[in-house]
Amino acid sequence: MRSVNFGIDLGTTNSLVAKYENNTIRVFKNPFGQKETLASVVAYRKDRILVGDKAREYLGKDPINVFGGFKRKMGTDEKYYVVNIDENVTPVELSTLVIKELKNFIQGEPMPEACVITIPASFDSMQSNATLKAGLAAGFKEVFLLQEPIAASLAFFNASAAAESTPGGYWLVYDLGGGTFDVALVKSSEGDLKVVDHEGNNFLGGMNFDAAIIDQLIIPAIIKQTGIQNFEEEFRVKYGKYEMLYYQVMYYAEEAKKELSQATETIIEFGAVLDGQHHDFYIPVTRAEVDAIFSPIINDTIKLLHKILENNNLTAADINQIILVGGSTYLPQVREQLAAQTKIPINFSIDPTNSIAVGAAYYASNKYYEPTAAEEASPTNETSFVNDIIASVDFDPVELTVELSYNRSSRDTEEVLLIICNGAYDNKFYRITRADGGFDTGFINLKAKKTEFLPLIPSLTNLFNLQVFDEQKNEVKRLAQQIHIAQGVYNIDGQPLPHDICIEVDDMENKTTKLEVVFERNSLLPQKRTLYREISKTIKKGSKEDGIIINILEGDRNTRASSNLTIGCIEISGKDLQSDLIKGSDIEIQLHLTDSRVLNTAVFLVMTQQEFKNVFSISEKQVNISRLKEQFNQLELSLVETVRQFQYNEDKIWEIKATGYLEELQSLKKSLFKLKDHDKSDEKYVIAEKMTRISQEADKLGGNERIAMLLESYFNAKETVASSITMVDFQKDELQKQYQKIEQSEPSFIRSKNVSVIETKLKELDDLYMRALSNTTGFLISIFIEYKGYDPNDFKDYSAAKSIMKMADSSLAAEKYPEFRRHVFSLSSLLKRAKHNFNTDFKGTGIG
Amino acid sequence: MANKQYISIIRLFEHCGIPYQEDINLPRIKKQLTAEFGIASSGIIEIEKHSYNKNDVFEELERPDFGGRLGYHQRIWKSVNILSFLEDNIFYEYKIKQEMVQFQNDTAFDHFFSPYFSVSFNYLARNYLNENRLDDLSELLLFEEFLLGQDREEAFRPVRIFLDDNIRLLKNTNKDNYKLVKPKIQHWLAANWSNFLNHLPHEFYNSRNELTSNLVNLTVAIQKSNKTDCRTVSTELTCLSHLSPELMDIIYNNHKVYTNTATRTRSGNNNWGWIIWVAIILMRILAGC
Repeated sequence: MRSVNFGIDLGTTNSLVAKYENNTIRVFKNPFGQKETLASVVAYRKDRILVGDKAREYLGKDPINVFGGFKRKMGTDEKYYVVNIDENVTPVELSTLVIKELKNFIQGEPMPEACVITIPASFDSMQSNATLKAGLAAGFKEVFLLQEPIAASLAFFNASAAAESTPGGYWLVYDLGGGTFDVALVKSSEGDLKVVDHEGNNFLGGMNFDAAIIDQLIIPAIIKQTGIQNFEEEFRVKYGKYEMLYYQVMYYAEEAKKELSQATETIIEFGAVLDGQHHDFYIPVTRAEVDAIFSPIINDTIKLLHKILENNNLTAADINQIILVGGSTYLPQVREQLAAQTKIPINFSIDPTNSIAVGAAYYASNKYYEPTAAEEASPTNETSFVNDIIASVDFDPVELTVELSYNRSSRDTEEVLLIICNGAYDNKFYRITRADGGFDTGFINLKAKKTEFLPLIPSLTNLFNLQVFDEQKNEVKRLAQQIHIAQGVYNIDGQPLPHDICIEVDDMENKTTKLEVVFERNSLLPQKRTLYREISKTIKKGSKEDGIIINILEGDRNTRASSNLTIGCIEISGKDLQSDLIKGSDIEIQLHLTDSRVLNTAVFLVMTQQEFKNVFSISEKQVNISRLKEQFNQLELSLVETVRQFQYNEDKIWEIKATGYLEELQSLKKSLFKLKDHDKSDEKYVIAEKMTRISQEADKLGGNERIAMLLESYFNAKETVASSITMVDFQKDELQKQYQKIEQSEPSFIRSKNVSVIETKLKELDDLYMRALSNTTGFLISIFIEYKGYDPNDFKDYSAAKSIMKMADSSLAAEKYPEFRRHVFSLSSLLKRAKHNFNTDFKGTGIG
Repeated sequence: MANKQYISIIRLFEHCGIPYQEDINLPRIKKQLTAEFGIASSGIIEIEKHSYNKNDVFEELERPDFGGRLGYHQRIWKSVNILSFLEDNIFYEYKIKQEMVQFQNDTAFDHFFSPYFSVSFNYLARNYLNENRLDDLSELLLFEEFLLGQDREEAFRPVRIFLDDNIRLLKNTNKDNYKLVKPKIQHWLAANWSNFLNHLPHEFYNSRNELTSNLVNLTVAIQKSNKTDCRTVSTELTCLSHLSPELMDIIYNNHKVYTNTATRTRSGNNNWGWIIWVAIILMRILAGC
């Protein structure tokens, strides 16, 4: 195994490649021009393909053959028609070209076979898989994906660690790139770094600022000057008559945006032939104007930032700093608005341009892959490669392999080394020494697996030598390896799952389907789990109509299945079966989600002894504009109905909420219905993303305000229960524990914001309250007196009740309270309609 | 999130050669496991068909009460029947009972055990109910005291659905539709289900009473047309406990009638008065519920 070491930031506007080398990161430069960044732009000329800055420059000359911003369309079915070659190209193919070009930056060393490529944290599985596909198509044998906020965190904390000690606690990584936005909550404590939560929008980035300038400043100016009717509509049509102007204007808007980061005003100046007539445009733009039009976009990012705080029950005071990453954080409006609205100190100490690549390289240093034979044979001058060599010895007829696993960076003062041997290791020895002579294991027998803890010198790259010796203690030089561990460098355990992964199962009680979480959002990848379920209907062998559908979804467990993205679907019909599948028979579903979020499934039908295996790496999202419009209408109708219901119930607060969502949805209407089927802009994805978000919120509607009310009831009930437990005479410890258990689950269920979960907790508290009362002698006496006054018809069996009453009287007189308590319970169970429900959750009381 | 199937951390420790018998060094264990997961193909360590992922393992290691839980993990590891019950849903009532003795009156163990137990309990309960193995389920129910709080809901869900379905089904069964319904209530026509009802936990008190009443009504409905079925159900009903004395009286009286009727039928006598009397009492009781 070798460590990957190479990290690639595949950005919307710029891409970079970096490498981890002995505790330092080297960001490669373009051999032509010596710039670290490569513009994520591809230009198709008739005779060649240009990638990078050259391609971007070509935008002014031949914009219809130049493509940029395709990262935002990864995982969609979008295709770009290239006039010059008369072919369609996909975002994956364009990304492949960018990655291939980045590989050309790596000069003077063997071409890597594996790399880490960063993706926005909120990329869904389709987008992730599309990125993976691009990496593999670019020639990497293995590709690991890494979420951008994690990369940024590694870059920031390691940069800070080198300079000063970084305080523990919470941090926010605010990553506003060219096309995407992520905000991540990171916790650092005792050298550990953990991404606790994140939010993001894959269609929110620098390009939105450019689009806002076009929509709100340039287009109105063009219409005003030319008077062309339906210019705006025509301007957006894919391959329409203003195709060239569209791309030119995008370029001018971006330039204006950059200029206004420094100056208070600028002029967008260009000439164009429109409808056969030449026009010169001279559009003055002020900083104040762009401040106003950028503000709603920045507000959208701040909303997500607040959401993450709210979800984790944190306030601004709990956050050390906001770390800014991504090219768009250079915009002064972003920094100013962020500081003013969050009141959290802003940190822009790391280079927003290359930090993602730097972090990716740190992460890559601890990722391993199996090199191909060719690469294994290739010389690896780098000491950083040496540690993972799988070496073989020629003196022994049986091949011996020695494989090492360890963290190449650590904040601790010791680090573990795992030595795995295969082959003839008997009577052979190893010895590990630290280069400064401060540590020596002596000769130790090799075994199939050995563990050594290596002491580290602080703030240094510690070099250890591992030597292997034969029976006569002669060194087998070919098996010698060097181990480099950088002390003081942050590492991260793994990356969290951005969304819940759920399976759709039948809800037999309510005769519907429901989502069951298989892998929870924010749990670390990879994940593997086997679910044992049963078949809920009989399927006849050979039947085409009957079947089972195993639908695996990515999204939010608290929403309807339809609000989530299907990432895997296995359909097994009767014709796939070797025999009938009887209702109630077992089905085993094994799900394995890799580090790079490729979903492997294995379904085993116990009754037919059949196994169905699938690997899902769906990489194209379909956004059909007509379908989007239909969905819009459905969602709008549903929200209108919801608002009406709240009005009917005179529930003002919920009505306002629902109306808010409805208005937000309706604000998209104009843009959506303006879209033609062949619209070339990102608009349909932007709208689709917003609609999904609104739909998900609408799923929870009725919940949000109700949650507040429920929580209030919960806390009141909790107070009552706490005081009632202090007064109980029996089972005090057990009740206390039950109470504590509810209390411990508080953060998670409050965070879940799930009405039904909070209701369950409230019910648990109610039950606990009843249990507390039923264990309080004073209360039992008062209840007993009440029972005695009941009409005989109130009891199912009055004669039995009477005899129990007698026994209870005697127990009470004799002060045998446990006995008395049992009698009261027995009486309660004889009541026709339980007036005091003691039948809930206590053991061994003998009710009935 | 639903509770997870148990998977012994001790197997992982043994596989990785991590000492766990004496004082444990948690930071070292975590480091060693990080290295093990790092080198495992696809980041998942597979041992004897059991898959360990880092997230779940570290979640367990990072629990504040892991020190105490480790003791239970070790004891379960040594109790092979409990282990195979929790990991593979294999249930040997007698052997498990023997092994569980060591955990009696250990409330900390109950809290540790309950979430895992609920998963296996749910699985087995579903299977037993699907296969009409009510007798086996009754043995499983003997362990219900190890289920706490909300774990009980998950564990008993199949039982609750089964009882609700059967209450509904039996309520709508009469002598006219009996033949049609019979395949669906076959499990009540077999012997050995009384223990299932007897062992139901307290939260099913009402369901059990309602179901019992419905079964009594069934016997009344089919006493003439399906005597064998009637006597089988009635015999099981007489084995029920924890019922109100009045309901028990009805069951015994009815049973006498059915068995006497059988004798008298052979000699050509009928006693309709008893049956009508019992039916009237039953209807009154049900109307009062």
